[in-house]
Amino acid sequence: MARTVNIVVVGVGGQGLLTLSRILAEAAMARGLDALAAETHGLSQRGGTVIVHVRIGDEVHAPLIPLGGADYILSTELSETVRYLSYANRGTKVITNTKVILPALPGLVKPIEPREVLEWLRSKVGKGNLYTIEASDIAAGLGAPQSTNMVVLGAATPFLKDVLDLGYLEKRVARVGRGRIRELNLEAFRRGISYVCERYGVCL
Amino acid sequence: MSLARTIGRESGKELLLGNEAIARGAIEAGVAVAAAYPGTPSTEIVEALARVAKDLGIYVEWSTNEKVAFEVAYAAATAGARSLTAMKHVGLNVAADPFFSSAYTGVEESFVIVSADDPGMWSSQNEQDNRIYGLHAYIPVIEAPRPKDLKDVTKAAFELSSELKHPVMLRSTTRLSHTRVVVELGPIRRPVTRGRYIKNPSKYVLVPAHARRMRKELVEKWGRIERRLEDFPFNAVEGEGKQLIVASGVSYSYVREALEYLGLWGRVKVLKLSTPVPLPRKLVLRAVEGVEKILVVEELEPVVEDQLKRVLFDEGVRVEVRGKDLVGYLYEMTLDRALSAVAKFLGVDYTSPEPLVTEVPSFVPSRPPQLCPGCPYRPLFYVLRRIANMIATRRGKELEPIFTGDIGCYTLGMNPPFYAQDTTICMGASIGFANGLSHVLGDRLVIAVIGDSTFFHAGIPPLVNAVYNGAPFLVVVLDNRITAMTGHQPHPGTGMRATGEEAPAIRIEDVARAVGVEFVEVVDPFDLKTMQRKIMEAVDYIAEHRKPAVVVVRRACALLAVARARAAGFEIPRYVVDLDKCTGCGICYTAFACPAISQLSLKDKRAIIDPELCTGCGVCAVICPFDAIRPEKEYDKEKWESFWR
Ligand SMILES: Cc1ncc(C[n+]2csc(CCOP(=O)(O)OP(=O)(O)O)c2C)c(N)n1
Ligand code: SF4
Repeated sequence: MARTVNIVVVGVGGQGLLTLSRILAEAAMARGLDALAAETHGLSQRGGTVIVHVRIGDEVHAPLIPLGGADYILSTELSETVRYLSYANRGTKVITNTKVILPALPGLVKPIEPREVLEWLRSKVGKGNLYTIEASDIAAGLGAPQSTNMVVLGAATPFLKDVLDLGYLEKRVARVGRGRIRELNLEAFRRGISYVCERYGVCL
Repeated sequence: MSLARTIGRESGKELLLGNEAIARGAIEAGVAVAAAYPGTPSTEIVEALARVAKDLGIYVEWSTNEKVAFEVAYAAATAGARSLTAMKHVGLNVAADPFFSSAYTGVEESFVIVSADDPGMWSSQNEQDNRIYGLHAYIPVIEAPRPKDLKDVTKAAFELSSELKHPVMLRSTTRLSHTRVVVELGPIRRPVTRGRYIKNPSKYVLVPAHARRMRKELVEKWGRIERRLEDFPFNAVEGEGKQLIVASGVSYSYVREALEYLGLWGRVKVLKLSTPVPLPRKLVLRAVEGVEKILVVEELEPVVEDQLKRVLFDEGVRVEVRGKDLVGYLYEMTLDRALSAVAKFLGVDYTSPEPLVTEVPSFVPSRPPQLCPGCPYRPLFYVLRRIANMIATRRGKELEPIFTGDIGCYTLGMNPPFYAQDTTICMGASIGFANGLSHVLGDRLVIAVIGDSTFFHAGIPPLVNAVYNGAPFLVVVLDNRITAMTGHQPHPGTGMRATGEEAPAIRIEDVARAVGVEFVEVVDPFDLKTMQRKIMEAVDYIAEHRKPAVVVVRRACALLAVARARAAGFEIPRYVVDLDKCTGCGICYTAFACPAISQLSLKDKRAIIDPELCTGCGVCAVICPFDAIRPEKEYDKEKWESFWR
């Protein structure tokens, strides 16, 4: 490959974004590519907004993706997708969970309707570039609300199949968490893959 | 694979966090002693070393603060053990005293000081360029030009320090430290942990007579160090042309990508600089040969630019030097910033991909970090706010207590609806500030709020001061058993060391009593009634006796409790709202403000608990006036409780 693939991974602290993006970078490395993942740590993890810059290529030097420089935006929370949309350009593919998590800031934060946020996103992101997925519902349906991140990872996988080692990816996802959670994570990941294949025709 | 196995492996390729790469570099250099106090973005270096300490025979500790950590590692290096200390930029302020001395005495074996700076202030109270400390103290500073160089640069820093018998600062930044990167593992050098102390008081006793001599030697040594850095392996002149870009540290990676983007890589001369302090004179002169103008790209202060201008002036080289005027002082380097500076400097036009949007629409909620669901501090702050309101109502708004705060998760108590931090200055300043305020504010109550790790770090001397000088205020110590903010490192009160073995757990109440505080109570924040009563007793005690009082609020961090439960295979209980009983009063999501609870919908004010976020603490069930919150199903309360100790 010649050009670096820039993936902006966003969501809310506590949603497992570091795990998600780390697995992406590892799966790229397993494919023999160079990879960087610039993480958000510390204060911003306490329910704050989180952005991870994942860059995959033959040789990647700098940690950060410039504004307008993302090839993909992966998001586990809908309003965070909007917050970081300045990283997208006209060709960027946006793969996002449809759930909105409201911060508990009484009096300061007005509740918002996911439907309205979606409409706004549709008005900005070109047709064919917006891929929404009910990742939280899928995870909750499995009895594993905390596996939302793995559903989103699964949903991103068919898009990134050329830069990831898929065999490694499956094995790696199966090692996230302990006991029953492990199986559920793997299942959540697979549901993400099949969802984008069935709904959007983007398949492995 | 566990980090221990990853980072302790003999060879292969691994995806490591920048800080783990630094740890690995230290391991390959044969580090024998590592001591640190946690602080973002430096923490994972010593954390990683702690995991492999036993296997590799390295001595690793979390020290009580950075000064102590510095002295531990420094001392080991004077006894011939290769050593490392790591801290966030402000940690070096705490350790500045021994830092300056260490340059005077030098060391017998490698002593590497990792300073992890935080351009952009992602998790810090200020933006501080610690390369300046190097200039000030005569300690050379090494930086990695790219995340992937971190490991080998670290190794080189150890070799340099060993060769010079001088401390070396390895300066990292948030983006280097917290970027995961592919690292090629090299051979591990077995640590030599058994030191040999050769007495040499004329070198290590810094009395004025010795210091005067050593100051002179130090200035001479500085010249030798500067010359030695000329061929430091991570310095290089790349490309050719009449224009030179000097790129220091991680700015190199952005300059390189900017030039590649402009299609000019190789056609402009670039000085890749990983030794910003002291700036190697000959290297600079070699780079500027035949050059007509120069751009210096560096984050924060013009450390390289200023030195460079002096070198050029002294050598009579008259070329235009641009730098901060094009690059700016504030925050971290980005590709956008580097690209715009480089393009302006070279006088070329470029188009960059156009962002879809340039502004965040107003419906996107601001998302300041919050106390986690289940955090033991939430009920405390809930009660502190109630008490503050009560006092303000009874005695007047002008006598509302002042909260002098400190640094840790509990700083988030500043947010609504608690408003329980009026000052946050630096670690330990909660009690220091309370001392000063209580002497000038008459009978207006001052409440110092400080975490357990912070108490051990810098809270004890100001508490002693309060007893000694008779300062009347309340100290609330939030004992969640751990250093939570930085990712759960043990501290002297935890009962465990960095490497996992058991340690004496020093009790905060014992310390308070031992230094002469007469009113000392320990309370459980989940028992809201008792906690409120005891705090009110302390308030009365202070009013009556005009002396300091200490209340220790003890319960484990929710993340710790949940992790312990998970490890034990215990299913985390979840709480649900009985919608028939809920009246929509909103206390649980307004006054208590648990992030897991929100109102049902735009129109329906009744509460709903997000199962993705609930940690099963159950405090909302206590707070709800209508008894509308209950566990989803029965669970073993005693077992659950045991994880919260
Ligand atoms: C001098 C200095 N060293 C380190 C830090 C980084 N730091 C910020 S908060 C914190 C830990 C606080 O721990 P604790 O007092 O136990 O509070 P908790 O986070 O557990 O609430 C640390 C180490 C700092 N800000 N300043
Ligand atoms: S990490 Fe622990 S102490 Fe910090 S906010 Fe969360 S529960 Fe509270």
